[in-house]
Amino acid sequence: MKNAKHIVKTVLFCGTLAVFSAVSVFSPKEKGSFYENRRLAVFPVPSVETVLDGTFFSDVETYISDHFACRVPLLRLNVRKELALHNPVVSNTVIAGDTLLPYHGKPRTDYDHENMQTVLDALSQVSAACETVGAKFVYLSIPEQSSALRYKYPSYLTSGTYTDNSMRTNFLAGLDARGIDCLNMAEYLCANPEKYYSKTDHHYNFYGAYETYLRTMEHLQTLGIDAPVTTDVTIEPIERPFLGSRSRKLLGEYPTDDKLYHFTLGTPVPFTRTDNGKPVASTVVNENFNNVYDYYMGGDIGETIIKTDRPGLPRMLVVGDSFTNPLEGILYTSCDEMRSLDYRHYDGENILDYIADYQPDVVLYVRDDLTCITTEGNGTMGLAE
Amino acid sequence: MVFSSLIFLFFFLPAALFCYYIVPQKFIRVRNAVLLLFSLFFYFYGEPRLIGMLIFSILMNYLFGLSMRSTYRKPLLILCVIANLSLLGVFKYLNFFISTADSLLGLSIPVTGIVMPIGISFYTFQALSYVIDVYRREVPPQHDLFSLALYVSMFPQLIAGPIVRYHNVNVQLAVRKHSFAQFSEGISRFLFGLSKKVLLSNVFAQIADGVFKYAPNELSAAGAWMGAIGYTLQIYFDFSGYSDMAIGLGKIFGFEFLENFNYPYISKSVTEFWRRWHISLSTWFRDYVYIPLGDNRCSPARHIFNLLAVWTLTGFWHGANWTFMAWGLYFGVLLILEKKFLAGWITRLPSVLQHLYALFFIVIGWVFFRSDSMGLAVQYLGSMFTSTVPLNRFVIEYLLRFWPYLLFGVVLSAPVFPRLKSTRIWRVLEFPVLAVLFTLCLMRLLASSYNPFIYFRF
Repeated sequence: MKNAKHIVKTVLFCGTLAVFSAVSVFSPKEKGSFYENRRLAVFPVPSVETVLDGTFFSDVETYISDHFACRVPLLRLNVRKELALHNPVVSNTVIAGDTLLPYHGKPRTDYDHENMQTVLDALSQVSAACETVGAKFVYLSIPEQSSALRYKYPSYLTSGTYTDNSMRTNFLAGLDARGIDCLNMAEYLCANPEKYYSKTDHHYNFYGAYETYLRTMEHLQTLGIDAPVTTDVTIEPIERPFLGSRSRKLLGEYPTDDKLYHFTLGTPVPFTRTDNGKPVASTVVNENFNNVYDYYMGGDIGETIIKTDRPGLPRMLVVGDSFTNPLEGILYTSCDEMRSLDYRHYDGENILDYIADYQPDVVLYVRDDLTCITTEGNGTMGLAE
Repeated sequence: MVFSSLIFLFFFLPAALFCYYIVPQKFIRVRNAVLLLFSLFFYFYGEPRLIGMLIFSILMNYLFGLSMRSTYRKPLLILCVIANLSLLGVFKYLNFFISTADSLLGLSIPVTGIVMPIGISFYTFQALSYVIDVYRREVPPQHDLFSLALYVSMFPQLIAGPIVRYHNVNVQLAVRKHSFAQFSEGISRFLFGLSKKVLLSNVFAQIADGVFKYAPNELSAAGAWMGAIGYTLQIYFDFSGYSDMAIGLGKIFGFEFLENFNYPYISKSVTEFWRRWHISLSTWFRDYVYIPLGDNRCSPARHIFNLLAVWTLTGFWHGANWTFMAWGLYFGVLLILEKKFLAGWITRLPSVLQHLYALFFIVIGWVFFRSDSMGLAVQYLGSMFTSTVPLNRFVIEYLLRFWPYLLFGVVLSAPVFPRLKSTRIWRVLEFPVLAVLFTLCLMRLLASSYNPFIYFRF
């Protein structure tokens, strides 16, 4: 009887190891991870060098971890377990009531001054390039969700306020010192952050984007740019589950009533659109999205050109990352032509050459207040190296 | 490759088990060959460029072992000890000696680019113990190179111990029984070790690493104590978990290794702590250093010198840093004080106070062990006792986040489990408990890439 128990335990243990390894090896391999929003690792090709320096084996481990049998159900189970234990921090995400925020750990005591200098220098060059072609350059500073909703952090967790505040203040002062025109949206969006921000994503919602549009147009008017402002807009929630960036970290296991918003123009503005040089359908929303980030403007695209064929209106160039997408969805209605560049994906001309060639009337640089000193992609706009 | 990795659990281990057990039991030499090949691959996986060092050490000590029958056995033993310690000295301590000389003597000798091979301290000590045991005629020399190679490089204990002594396994290398009972016991032991490492130690590491990120002068007394206690729990569950896994794997492959931990945190004195902590290392130093130095059968002054020497070496074995030496010396001094003055006084204290006394000094000791430099260790200790910084917010955060793990950690530091195992209810609970623990480990392993073993750097 006792031996039978040992046999059963041995068979179960060896069987479990064998089944998991067999399923991991022979099951069809996914190319990407929906929740992580990234490509999964491919099996590495060994070479003498990678074997000897250990990178081959570490890449194999990454591959195994990415393609392990039942990976997603087990990860979900892990999140559920942590939520059931009422852990206030799960997967580096702070559970602040109905709001999900990033976990910071030890508060940073400083920011990268060199990076800030690099970004400010790049912006100075853009500002000068705009002046040369007679364009208005406006830096649009957008608070990131955790920045706008920082008061929601439990008192015992750091919200990163100190460093972010000093970084933000010094950055805005740097812009001012260089004579760069800045529209600080914190003044408007932080007045009612729960209206303008998603609870479970790091972006503003469409209300936030629309408010930004209105304030931008108001600001441009003060700079002498005369353009119609679209005010007859109906905004409605979409009845589909919303999986924001912070919810993704919890594999969608945290219940939320957060919504993605659809908008309808009272007076539609006809337009043509090209993405990366290819004509595409004339839409600014993708109703068949799988990923919520693909909804506004079809997601992040290197270069988009929208032409409304109204020569009396300004030509605008928008530079920035995903914060630009919902904004562009309405901004084009005030333009003859709107171009959008995202230097994380665009590998054509650098920003100075682009401005010189395009000769826009307005250049809007859209950046959130937490990544404003990041030098990659839109930080230097092809000017580095 | 660490035991608590998916590649080990679901690829290396099943492959090793399959290849090992497909060979009939009567071909023990073939089984040993299989185990040796897997062990060498295991080492190659973690240290591809330095596997030659391991093989060189095996060959060198094999030849020294055979030479222990010659007339010149004593000088050859001395040569063997010098050779082994030289390897250790060059690969582990040379850069430390150079930087110390640079700073003390104002020199500017550049440090070398030498990389320390994983597990060198463990396999060097194992190999040394073999040659010394042969010299002392406690065991015959091993003529089969592959058996000796297997003894030194067997993957369950290769990189983080326990330090298996040759006289404990030499018979098992040639003859050993395999049974379902032993295999099954090995599974339980392995899974409990895995759980200690993955479910507890890695969590305590978050606390300790989180606190030790702060400069000592930023810490409140409670914050500093939380970091020290977090590290106290981390290192125990990390190292004893690894030892459990090694012992469990040994059983799965038919070996019986000696225990390495015996609930050290229930000790009532520092002396008792060292009888329960890293037993294989302390007995190694006792048998190969302390006793040859004269043990306690000498003058009191010499006895004190012997103790200090052994404990300084014990500390230094853990790493090339003054902090480790200070840690060893600290325990040496405590042990001397206990032996010479405090023993009678401590035993008269109420049991609770004896535990608190021992724990207090153990926790303080870990501050030296965990700190990056002596200066930081002293400052950290200062924060534990004299800080005027207001309560750090992370104290509340960690308590709220990790209270179930802290509770388990404290409870499981005491011998609760052996008592539970002897009850009837355990017969019913064993399978579900093991299944749940394994699933939890799997979930954690997938969720987190934070998985380094502390003892790999030794």
